[in-house]
Amino acid sequence: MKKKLLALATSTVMMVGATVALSPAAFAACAGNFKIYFQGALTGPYAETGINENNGVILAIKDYNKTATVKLEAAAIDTEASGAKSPALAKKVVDDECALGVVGGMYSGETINAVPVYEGGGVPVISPSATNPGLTNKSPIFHRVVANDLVQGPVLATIAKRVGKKIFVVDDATPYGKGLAKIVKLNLTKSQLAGTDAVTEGTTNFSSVVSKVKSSKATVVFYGGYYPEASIFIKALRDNPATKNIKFVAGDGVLDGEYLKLAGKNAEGSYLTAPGLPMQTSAPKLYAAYKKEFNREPGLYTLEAYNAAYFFTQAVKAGNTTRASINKYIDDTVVKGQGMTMSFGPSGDSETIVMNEYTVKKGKIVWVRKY
Amino acid sequence: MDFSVLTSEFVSLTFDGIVVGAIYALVALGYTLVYGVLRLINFAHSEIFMIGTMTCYGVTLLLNIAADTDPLSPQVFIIVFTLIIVTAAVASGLAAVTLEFVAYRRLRVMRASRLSSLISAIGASFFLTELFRLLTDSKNIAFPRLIDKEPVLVISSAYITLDKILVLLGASVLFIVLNRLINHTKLGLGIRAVSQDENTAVLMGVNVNRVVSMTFLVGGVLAGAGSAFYMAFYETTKANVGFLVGVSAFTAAVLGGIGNVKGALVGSFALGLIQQYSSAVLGYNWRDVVTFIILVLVLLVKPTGLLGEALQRARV
Repeated sequence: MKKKLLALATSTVMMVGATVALSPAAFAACAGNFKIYFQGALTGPYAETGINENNGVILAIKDYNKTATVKLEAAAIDTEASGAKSPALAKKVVDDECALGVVGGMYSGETINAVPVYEGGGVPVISPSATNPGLTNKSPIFHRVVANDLVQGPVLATIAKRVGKKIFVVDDATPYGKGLAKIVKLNLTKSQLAGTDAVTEGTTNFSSVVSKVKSSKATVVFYGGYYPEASIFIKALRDNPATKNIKFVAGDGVLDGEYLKLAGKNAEGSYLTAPGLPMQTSAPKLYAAYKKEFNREPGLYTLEAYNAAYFFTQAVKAGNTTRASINKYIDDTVVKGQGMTMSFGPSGDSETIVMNEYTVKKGKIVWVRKY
Repeated sequence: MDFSVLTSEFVSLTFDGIVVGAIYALVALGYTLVYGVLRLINFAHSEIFMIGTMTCYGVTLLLNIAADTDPLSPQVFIIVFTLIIVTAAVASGLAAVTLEFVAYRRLRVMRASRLSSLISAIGASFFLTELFRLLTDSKNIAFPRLIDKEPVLVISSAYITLDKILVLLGASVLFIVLNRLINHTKLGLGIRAVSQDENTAVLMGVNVNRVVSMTFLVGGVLAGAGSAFYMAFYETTKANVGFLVGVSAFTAAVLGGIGNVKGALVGSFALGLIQQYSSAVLGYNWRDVVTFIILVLVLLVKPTGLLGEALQRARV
């Protein structure tokens, strides 16, 4: 008798398990609010960019909820921008029945590793700032609102050639940094490329790199990487009398308030680019609302993160509450966001392409021109 | 491969390699001293170094100069740097003694296997890194400019700056003091006795617990001083800085012959130079590949490290 009961209990448990696992509408069983997740760094050395993006998402959801019938909730996973951590966290999003979509990831490396996980769960993704070209054209769920490094790289090369004749290219061996450096190199002639080197993320010792730059007699350095290392690198360059006045060119990974803080006056005059638009001029009303809400300046990509989240809110507003229908909406619809119009080509890349040049003047990041 | 850099920048690379080697040596000595008395790789030693760098930053915060970007005047610098290096050395020294007491002593008294101590060491290392990661939000911390970095002397391709001279002079003084401590004091005699034969040392009336504590203290103080030089030189730190420096310092200690004080010095300078030369010729990201290939080759030929033989003869 006991045995029979046990067998019955086991089979019941197994049946329930099977039903839950097989049910195609598992996430339709969401009990509370539907959620839009942000993926990026909220702690760690790269957190400044992440917090600025996450705030954009929070504000977009808040604005939407004011008039919405189907309310949304802003949630976040903190990857610390690490490609090693992002897949496990992405799995959590996939398993969350209330998750409808993801704004993110913030950097290319963490996004490359997380996208296959999202794809497995059919979760639509719109990245505000992952610019590696290899991300698009791979997965039907991945989209991004910014132009990729195939646009950014040539612009960086143009700037580098404008400010000097001999260019030394350094990257940090991450998918983003290495990828961007490669495109820059492709846009330089042999005589323009003075030399190359690659460092590792987290390094503090740039003395051998500076020696190489010095020996190459380059007048411009391009750095493909992020601000924590860039701020140490620029300091090392400025401290060496031979490379003191070298022009420093870098992409959107360096463009961050934290770069100014860590590099101090050494950051002055850096040539930087980003597909991101300055919020203050492109969406002044939103800029004011943002400052009121968070009592801080928005960062690069705050506007893009806001708009990516805004795309999701419009999808839900149009009556889509499943991951699949939202993904279809994103693929098919043109949405006018704040200061930019968004639509995606079949590859997942944005159909509007903008690239901006910035510089550092008197301790502030200043927009220079549009390409 | 780019050998032209090696020829045109040889003096500069060599000088920088020696400076980096001096910092490695101050940390490597801690690994080697502890290994000498306990036959234990103190994996948390890198975090003792990290605590030193954080203390340096803390002192600048207290002095309200943490955001300074202009170097201090020479007189002020001497006072401030003395304060920083002493505080960092004390903090790291105390941290090392505490670490020994919390993570290793009980295991040693209970005669637990060396493996348990090793795991305890790794655990302590993780604990400290993660603790400081939380405390600092794992952000990079910029250290103020304390000393002018305009070159005071130019030798061929090398710019000799005050901060590099400071590192070399300071480290040399510490090496001399350590040498005297080990060879000419009662404590040094105790350390040498315990590292040769613990049981006999006990029979001869050596207080092993005291010797072990003092060894950790000495190692910690050296790492703390090293961290102050590191901060003056690199001007940045973060929660995992210990790992970056610790791996190199540990490698240097093994390269020179772990347990051997002179070996740690030789290994550190050798490693500093190898790293500079290899990153110049092959590129920075090949640095560690080359370093470890050389380490493996040395250990294949001389399993006890560069100066390992002398050590074994001394022990027989």
